[in-house]
Amino acid sequence: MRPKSDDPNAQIAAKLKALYLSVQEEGIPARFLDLLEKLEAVEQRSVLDGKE
Amino acid sequence: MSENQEFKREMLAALPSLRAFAMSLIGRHDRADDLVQDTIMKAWAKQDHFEMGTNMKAWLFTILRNELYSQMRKRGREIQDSDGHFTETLAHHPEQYGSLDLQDFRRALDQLPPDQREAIILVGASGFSYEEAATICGCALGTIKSRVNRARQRLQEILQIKGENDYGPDETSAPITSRAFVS
Repeated sequence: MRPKSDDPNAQIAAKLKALYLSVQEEGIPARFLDLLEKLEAVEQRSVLDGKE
Repeated sequence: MSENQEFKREMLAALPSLRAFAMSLIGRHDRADDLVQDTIMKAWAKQDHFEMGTNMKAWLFTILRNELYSQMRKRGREIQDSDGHFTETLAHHPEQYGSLDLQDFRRALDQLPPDQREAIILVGASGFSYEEAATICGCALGTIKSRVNRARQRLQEILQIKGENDYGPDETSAPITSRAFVS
């Protein structure tokens, strides 16, 4: 069941999605990629230390 | 691929949506990204609790949401002061939303109570079912449904009221300016 485009609920849904997608489509900022790299490096080091 | 790499890969896949969730809830890029960063660190520390193959996105959203509310409780009224938050969003970040239409919608979204806002975002934008949204928010299915309904009604009211004043820029900017000076 698709609401008509002049249905207020459909308009709200479309705007909410547009707002959300405007952020989602920015992709992943470098700070988060760097953070994950660091977390992984720390973990690998502790795994290696643990194997000694 | 090790379980560790798999975990990281699934996390990366969910990050754009997690950011969009944070941004939709908070309305400011800097705060939203700080919250995402806190969420990543929490999730990483708790990765042994995550069962591979289950819903990573829902898991991360739950952590983010809990983190946000625990920070709000700690900061007291700083974030909950929605009036101040509203002014601040407009004053410093009006360029974040491309069209005027989306800026109006952002303002309307900011006026919702937090529980209604998160419910309509989870169901209407993040792509979760009502059941999943209820699990993420830790409440009953019926509660989520009624929050989403109330959010829709409220947004309709706000946007229709604003719509009548759309033609005069002074009518929209005047109350904002005076509000900024009062606070």
